[in-house]
Amino acid sequence: MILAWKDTVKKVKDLVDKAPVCYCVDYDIPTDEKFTEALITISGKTFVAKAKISKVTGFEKGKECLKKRKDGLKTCLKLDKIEEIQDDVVNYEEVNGGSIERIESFAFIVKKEEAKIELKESYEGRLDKDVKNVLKITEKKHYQLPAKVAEKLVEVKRKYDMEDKDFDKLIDAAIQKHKETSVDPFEAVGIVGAQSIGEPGTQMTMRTFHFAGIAEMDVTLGLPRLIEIVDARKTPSTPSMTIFLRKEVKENEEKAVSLARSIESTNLLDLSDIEVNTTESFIRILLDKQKMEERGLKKEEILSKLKKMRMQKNTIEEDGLELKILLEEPSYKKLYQLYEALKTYQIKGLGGIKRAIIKFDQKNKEWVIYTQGSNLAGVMELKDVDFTRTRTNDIIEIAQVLGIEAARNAIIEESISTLQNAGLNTDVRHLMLVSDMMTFDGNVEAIGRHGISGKKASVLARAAFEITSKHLLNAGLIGEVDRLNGVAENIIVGQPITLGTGAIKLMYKRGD
Amino acid sequence: MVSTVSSAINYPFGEVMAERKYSRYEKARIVGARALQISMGAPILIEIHENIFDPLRIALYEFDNDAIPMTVKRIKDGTIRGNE
Repeated sequence: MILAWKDTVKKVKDLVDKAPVCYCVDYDIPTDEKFTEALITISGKTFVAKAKISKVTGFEKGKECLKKRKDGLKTCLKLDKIEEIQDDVVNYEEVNGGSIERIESFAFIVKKEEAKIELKESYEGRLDKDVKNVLKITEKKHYQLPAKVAEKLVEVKRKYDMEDKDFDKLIDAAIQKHKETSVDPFEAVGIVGAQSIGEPGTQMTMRTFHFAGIAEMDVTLGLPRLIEIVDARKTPSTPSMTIFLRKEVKENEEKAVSLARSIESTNLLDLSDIEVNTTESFIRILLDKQKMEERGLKKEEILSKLKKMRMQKNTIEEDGLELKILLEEPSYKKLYQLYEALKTYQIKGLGGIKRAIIKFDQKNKEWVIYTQGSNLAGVMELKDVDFTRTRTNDIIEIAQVLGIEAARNAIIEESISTLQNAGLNTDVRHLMLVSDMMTFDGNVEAIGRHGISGKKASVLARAAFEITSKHLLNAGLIGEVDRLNGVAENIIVGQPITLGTGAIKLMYKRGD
Repeated sequence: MVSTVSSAINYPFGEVMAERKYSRYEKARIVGARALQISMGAPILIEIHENIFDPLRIALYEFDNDAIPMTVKRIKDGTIRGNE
């Protein structure tokens, strides 16, 4: 076991300077365990120092050593070596459960099973030999085909048992086709994209405004959902998750049910009625047996949870299904604060997840959990969850938990699936463009006044969009310069725009 | 989408550019400029059937035969600059 404690910056420095040293700490250490290592934290977030312990003895007065505190010392540690560690991803587990943040003064911890980090070979590296060969051939032809296309070509070659001569022709044709699909420089892709999403958008009918989703779940779909995605709302109106289970347990119904139950967040108010008695200054909690059974909770669990709550010196009296919380001294304000805290006090589950339903997927022969409410970080930490497939429809949450590239993909997937749900087939590339514009600066930005339209580099372009006078006045005050690189500014000024033919400058060919 | 220039032209930009063809916008710009010149009386640079009168058609014919003494201003790596 490893000893861990919290210390001050000064003390840690002292220890590092004076090692090897004798250090007196203010807590008892059981003698039946052997401690050889110690970790010291200052902030409670990471361990900053690592020490080797050679001897643990009781504290004796008069002995010359460093002291953690002036009085109340109990144990003496002999530290052989101490070194500072930095940015160490520490994978330790408190013996009595919990994490490093909970170390108040000291704790005994054990090393967690360490995660192995394996470098996955890149997509290009994992390709088939034949596919690589195709890519080489195309390179000789001064062209680059996507690996996916090359894979398809090889597949076709094998299927029809093609000769090399014919296959070469096929590659040429593929290159030609691929060239044709690429966009010319200065094509107005944004306008084309806007039209391509907007026109099918008008086809979405009122019918899709509210749509009963999977398994009694209410999920926003259609135009409202599309607007929501593009607006980059902090939370979607109907956040939901689809949780998949690991291969080993995915066919196990029991596990799925218990997992679904354990993530459903349960407040105290979900289980009981709470009454406030202001005259005698106490709170009465009337537990509902039926509701408790539904959620698989026992009174003892609730009681122990309540005791963990920060309640200065209040006493809890229990009488059957009735719990009485008495305040130390009568205070109207404190009573109400406590009442408010109790109402939303979480007894069980993950915050944010209101409901979880399990459903059997006939096609893939597995149990899937659908939830109302979303808590990606919490769900991903669960043991039986296959977090590679688990998904949420909260894009901002994805950006926070998994990063901006994941958010970009989420925007694309969410928007294309909403469109396809309404029976509309929009090319992904338009949505990719939208998604790229929303995420390219590292944050998920809305399209509109508060997002990318309001953050354009050009004053004139911003003024042309909304709140003209404010932008112009502000630009005048700080002396902004407009380089006239964009489209809107050039239209205002009366120049040809930098798109299509307007962007091309001619020159005479030099004669030989 | 991209029109091919029939014969190999000696571009002043080296190998990479010789591979490239004009994009449709470039073609439109070149042909348009040339058609304007022709419409205002510029001499035609190649032999053309005497029944062709439309300046645009003449310009297109010239373009196809690589006779227009104009090209597009580009940066060496092949990218085209916007408003400078």
